Amino acid sequence: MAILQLSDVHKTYPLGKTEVHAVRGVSLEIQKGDFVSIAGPSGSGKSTILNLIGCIDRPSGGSVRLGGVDTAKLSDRELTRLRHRVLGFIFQSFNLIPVLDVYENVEFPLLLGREVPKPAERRERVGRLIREVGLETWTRHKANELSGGQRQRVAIARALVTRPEVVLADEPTANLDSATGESILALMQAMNREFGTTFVFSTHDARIVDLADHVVRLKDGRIAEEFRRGGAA
Amino acid sequence: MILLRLAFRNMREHRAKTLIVGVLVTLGAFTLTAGNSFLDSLRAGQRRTFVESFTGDLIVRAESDEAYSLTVSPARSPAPELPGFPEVRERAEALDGVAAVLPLVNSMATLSAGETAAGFSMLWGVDFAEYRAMFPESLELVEGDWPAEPGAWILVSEATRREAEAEAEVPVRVGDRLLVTGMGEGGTKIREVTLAGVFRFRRGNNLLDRISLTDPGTVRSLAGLTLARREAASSESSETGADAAVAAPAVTDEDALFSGFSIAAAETSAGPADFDSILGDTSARARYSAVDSDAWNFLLIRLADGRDAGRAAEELGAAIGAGTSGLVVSDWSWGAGVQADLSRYLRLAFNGIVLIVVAVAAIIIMNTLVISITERIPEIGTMRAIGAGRAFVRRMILTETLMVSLAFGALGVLAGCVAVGILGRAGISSSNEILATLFGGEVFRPAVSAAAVAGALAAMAMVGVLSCLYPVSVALRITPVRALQKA
Repeated sequence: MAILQLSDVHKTYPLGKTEVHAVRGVSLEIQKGDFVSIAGPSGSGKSTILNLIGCIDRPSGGSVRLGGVDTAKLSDRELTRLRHRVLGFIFQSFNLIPVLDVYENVEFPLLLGREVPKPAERRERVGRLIREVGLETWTRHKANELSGGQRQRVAIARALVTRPEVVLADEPTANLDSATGESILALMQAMNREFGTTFVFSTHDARIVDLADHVVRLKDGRIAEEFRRGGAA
Repeated sequence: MILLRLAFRNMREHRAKTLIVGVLVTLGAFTLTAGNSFLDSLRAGQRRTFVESFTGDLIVRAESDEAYSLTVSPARSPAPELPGFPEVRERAEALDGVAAVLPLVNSMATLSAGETAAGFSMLWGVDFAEYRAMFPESLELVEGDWPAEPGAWILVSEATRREAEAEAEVPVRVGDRLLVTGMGEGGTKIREVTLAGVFRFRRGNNLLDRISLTDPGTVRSLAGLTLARREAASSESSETGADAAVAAPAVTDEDALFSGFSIAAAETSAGPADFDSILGDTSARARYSAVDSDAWNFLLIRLADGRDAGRAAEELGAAIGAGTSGLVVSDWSWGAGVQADLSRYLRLAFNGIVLIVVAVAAIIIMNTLVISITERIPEIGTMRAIGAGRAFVRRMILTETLMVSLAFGALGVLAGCVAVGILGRAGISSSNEILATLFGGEVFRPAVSAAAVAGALAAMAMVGVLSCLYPVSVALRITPVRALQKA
């Protein structure tokens, strides 16, 4: 079942008097539970595709359907709700909220929705995820007291705490050394298997691409190659 | 809860911003608390001065298009007569919480001990016993005593006596006969009064010292409040024509009264032999120039302690039909006239200056917040990306600003309270009479005013909210994607 569908998606940005075509007619389907790598060199449109899937940017043409819903027709408020309910985000620069500690950062998305879980449930969900990412001894530390790998683990826990259907990760290992990067990817894979959460991550690191079961290679804003491991594209 | 936590942590995290905004808010709250407490205390002191010594809590007076006054105001018109006085007094006395009432009739007059006049004095015609019951602490007699018998008496202030002595170049002593000259409706009138005493107002000033206390009859006579005037007024309302004019001549002083008699007419109606008897018969003159003992200009009312003057004024107004009966119920500030305006103008000037300073401070706060928001674009963008709506961002910034405003506002208020408390303990003394009237005594002890505290906190909260409107709009324009690009 396709949880994500991109149909002939275009994205252009104004740059002075000219326009930059970041994405040129991308069509793509992602199934529930996929572990997807969007690969390509810098400027190939990876982050733009991820932003469009994540409803934090709107396409200039074509459509992005998330869970069957055409995101182009949604208002800002509806997109915000959709992001909160369906998506989790892991950013290249971790993007933790600096004034909150590990526990509070993970808990934060739970406090944003219309229906905030009860404190006991929040404690259980947050505590479990912090244990899953191996940070149970760091719960009261702030982001600036953590290493890059630890921060990204917090970001993974935060992305999963609302039990989203899709987690989007924009070059999640770009700011990490290779060993830490691999451990983060292993963690994401474990979460993908344990929770059945769809993971879509962008990367230009060939070693990381090898871990994905669905690979989309971009070049100059177009899909240059797409394949599934163990199956045809 | 998360908003408060974020707000508190951001206050600590962004210390420079918090400090800039905090210092401005603290100074604003301090100035407003101390300044308005000071002004409230001045107003309270002034109110005490006038209520306890000059005006009472409430003043019943007649409606008029002309400006007139209770206390000293030379440029104003004579006070109009209070309509339906006996009933007004009865209803005022029946009101709950009325401690004393004082009917009063007033008139501007010049006072002279010899041939030369000694300047203006505001004559207050009162029943001396009622005056003392109404204002037991208002003055101290430095010479003489309260009149024990009916008659034409006057008590003057030390300042007034000094002026009379200087002008007349003769000493003025208790028991001396003084001349008071008034300009009433019927022209200039002169009356002789006996100086019963010389007093000193406990909270007077050079304007209030011009008030002299006399018997009501003298003032009525000078002001032309005679029976003839009343009869004329009642005749005008019931009949017209020559009969009414004869029955009640409009003019009331002696010369004018005599001018109404025609010698030619007398000659035709009576023979020359009757001439002496006509001129010798002064009964009509006496009747028409007799003062009207029910004629008063004001009814001053003292309320019992704790009685709310505003509510009492409403109740009294309803009881006497104020607004429809030609009567008005005013508070002490009307009676104090231009002197009450002084504290009002002081407050206006102070708050005007504060408003300008606050506007400048709000602009500085706004710029500081905009810089802070710009620094936090990635943080706000992240929040938006992971599900925080615009409303959340708006509330977050508002909470942060309000928290800073109220926390530092409270600090400023506290500092203001301490400053006022220290001043209140030390006291500010002044030998200046105007200041003494404002202070409500020789030593001014300002006290913290609840209204000033509430006003300062409200003003700082308002400054916080207003100054974050633009920064909030900047924050709401931040799209998640732009924010993430900046991360």
